[in-house]
Amino acid sequence: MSMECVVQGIIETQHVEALEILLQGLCGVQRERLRVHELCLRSGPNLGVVSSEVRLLCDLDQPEPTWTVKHVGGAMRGAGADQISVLVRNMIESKVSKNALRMFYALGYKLDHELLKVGFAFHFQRTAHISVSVSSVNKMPKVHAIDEAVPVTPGMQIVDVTAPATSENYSEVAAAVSSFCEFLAPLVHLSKPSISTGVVPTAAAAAASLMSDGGGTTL
Amino acid sequence: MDSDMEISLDRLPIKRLESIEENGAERFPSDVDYDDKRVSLIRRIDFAWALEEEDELKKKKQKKSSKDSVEQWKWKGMVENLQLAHQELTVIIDLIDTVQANDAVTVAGMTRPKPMPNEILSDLAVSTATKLQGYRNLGNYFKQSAKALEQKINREARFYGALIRLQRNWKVKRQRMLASNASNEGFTIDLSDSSLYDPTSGFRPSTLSTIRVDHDSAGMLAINVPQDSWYSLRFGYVGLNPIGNSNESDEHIDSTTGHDIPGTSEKLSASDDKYVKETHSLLREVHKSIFAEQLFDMLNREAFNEGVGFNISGLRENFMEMSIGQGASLFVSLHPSGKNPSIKKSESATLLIESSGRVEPAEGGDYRLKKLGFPNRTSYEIYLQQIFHEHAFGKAKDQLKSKSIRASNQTEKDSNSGLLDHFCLSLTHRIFSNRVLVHLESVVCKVPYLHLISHPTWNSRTSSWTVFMTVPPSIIPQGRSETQSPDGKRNLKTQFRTKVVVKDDCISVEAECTPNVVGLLKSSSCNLFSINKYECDVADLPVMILQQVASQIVCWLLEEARTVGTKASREFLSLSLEIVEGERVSLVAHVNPEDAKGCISWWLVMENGCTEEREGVSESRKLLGHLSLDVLYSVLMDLINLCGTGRNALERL
Repeated sequence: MSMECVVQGIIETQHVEALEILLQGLCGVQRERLRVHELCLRSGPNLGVVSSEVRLLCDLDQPEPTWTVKHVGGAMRGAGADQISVLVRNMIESKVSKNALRMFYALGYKLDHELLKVGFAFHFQRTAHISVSVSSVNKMPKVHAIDEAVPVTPGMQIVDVTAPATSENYSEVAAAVSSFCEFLAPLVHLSKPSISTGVVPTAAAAAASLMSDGGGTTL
Repeated sequence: MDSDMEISLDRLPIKRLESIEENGAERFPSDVDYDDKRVSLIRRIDFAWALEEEDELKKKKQKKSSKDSVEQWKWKGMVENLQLAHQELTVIIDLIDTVQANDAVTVAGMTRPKPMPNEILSDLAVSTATKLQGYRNLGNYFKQSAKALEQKINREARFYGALIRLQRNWKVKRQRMLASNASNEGFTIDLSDSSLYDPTSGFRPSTLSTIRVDHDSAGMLAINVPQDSWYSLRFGYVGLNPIGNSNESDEHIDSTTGHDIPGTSEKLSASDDKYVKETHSLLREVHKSIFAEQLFDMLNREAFNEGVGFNISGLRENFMEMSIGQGASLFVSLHPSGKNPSIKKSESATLLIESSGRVEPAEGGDYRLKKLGFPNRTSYEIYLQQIFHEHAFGKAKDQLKSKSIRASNQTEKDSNSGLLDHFCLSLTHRIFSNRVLVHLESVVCKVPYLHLISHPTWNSRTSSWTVFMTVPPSIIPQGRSETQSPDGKRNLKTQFRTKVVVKDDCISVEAECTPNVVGLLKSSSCNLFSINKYECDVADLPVMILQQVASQIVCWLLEEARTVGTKASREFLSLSLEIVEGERVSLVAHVNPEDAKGCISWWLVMENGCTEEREGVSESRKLLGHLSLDVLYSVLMDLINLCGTGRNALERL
């Protein structure tokens, strides 16, 4: 069973540029653009004993949109999981063809909600393959109307840090993720998705320091 | 002399208090032995002489009577008198000696008067009053000392409270030897990381690594840091970034807390909480300074190692300058960031002017940075610190793990030496890949049917993109297609990819349907799925990409032509169709990366077996211009239609 380690946080849009500079420095890799249409599907009553939820992700940054289906399982529970500062959960992901949506509809899934995430991402190797995405989440007034999308939280963007893991190595991956998150602490506080922590009060000062060219050191 | 001798000596009636017990009971020396003593003293006095004297007086009287009778010796009486006098004198001397030896000789008996009840009361009253007075004084004394003690305890509580709060984040040590000083309890804060000071790792402990904790005048914790001894690391591009601190207002802002560094005033009024926070950020500044020193120290040592990615061009105290690839020059300097940096700053600025002589104003720097493809300075300053941090602490961790199976120093040095090199190569790569990206984007922008996708490489020294082209679907229904390969796989591609991978400063292009050696020869087919890989440099990249794309288009058209059963062949970037025997018409691609309108233009070239009959070259060539893929496809279909109608039709073109 493949797993993933996740932490999330929010940042004000005005500080995103500073975050990008910081991430660029921490990761050392080139930034990737991010434009993903996310469709959340929920199984109908006649499918299985419990209702299930799948996400169809459509990468719009490609010349031809590519589709991914993703099932996010429940978070790991127990005392061990509580001690880890990142959320560890089961996750299955697969590339699918563009017919996937029609297939899921035919299976009896219903569209629950859809989102459009626009931003950028960094993918780098540090103990694990860590991906950091900074995106603004948009909702659509009409079904699939991605051109008319409006931000859900204007002035606020979401920061996701994810890393794939297995049941053998998740503790090391979680440690790598949380140690990476500490570097972002002046700008954005990252925590398990269920715990909302709000914006960091020092963000403005830290961003100003990063943006000024004569600025100080940040480590 | 002959009278009764009366000696009466008594103790002075002073009763000395021997002790007061804790419950207030007074204890006097016991007077039980007083009578005994008196008796013993009395016993010591000898009254025998007095009796003898009387006897002798009687004898004298007898003798006188006899003297009268016998007038013996004239002087006898005088001798006797002298003897008596001597005797008497001896007794007196004895007595005086006795008295001298015992001042409390009492001869006369004395009965102590029994005090009256009112006298007892008054005595009691006096002693009680005295005692009360004594207690009052004692009370005042206790009150004063309690107050002083409380003050002292409060001061200590503030001090230790602050110390304990600092201990949560910092390593507090106590040295007894230092504790002799009154204002110092011997506490120090150790900012060094012991794992880094392994003798084999070669890090020098900084002078700031141990900070003494003192009491200030108010008894509060005070740390003793020389204000002008901190450093911060500066990194920049020579000639583009000012060496000095261009933004003085940001000097004292700590990026994590945003607090100003505490000044010496207002300390008293500041609440303890705020004060601890200030101390905390002060310690943090120092900690960062130590880190910067270590980093610079390590860079300095690495500068002497061989590296492929950098070339040291200037080295001074707290300053180093190096040139890396892609025409970029870096400087790394330790910049004093304490209270009084202005003097040192101007020194370092003049140093730079001397060393490079080409400091340019920062204005327009951003634009020039972008133009040169230099990435954000701050990002790379962070990256430098980041890789050092990861290296230093990652290595420290590894050392702990493999302490028992300690690898030889050689391997450690190897892992050490690559750091500056890796940093310079990463930066060079970023600059280079930015330039590559500019070229790719300019090509993709001008050719409307091309798309550019970037790929994550997870590596700071590798970048990867794909130039992507989707061709319009064939008008021939798939079911009737002749080009069904035996395994059922459709032989027509709808997408073509050209992958560009940049590793350090090497570009490799990997493309489908490339004009390889076989393709250069005249051939009637091309393998749509062949992949060719080769390297090129950045100047050639746009042409290479355009040639790839043109070649892919030719391949596609060739396959389409063959799908409908037309005889066609390709030659590099041209597609030839035989219209009638001996006469061919070719679609030739012309690539020009400078062409603002579309880079790839198409020519129609007619050739026949007897070209000499034709009047001029101009008639045999016709520029079709920048065609979209759809138009190109319909041109092909038109040409195929012509194949059936023959030469006359062709001439109408």
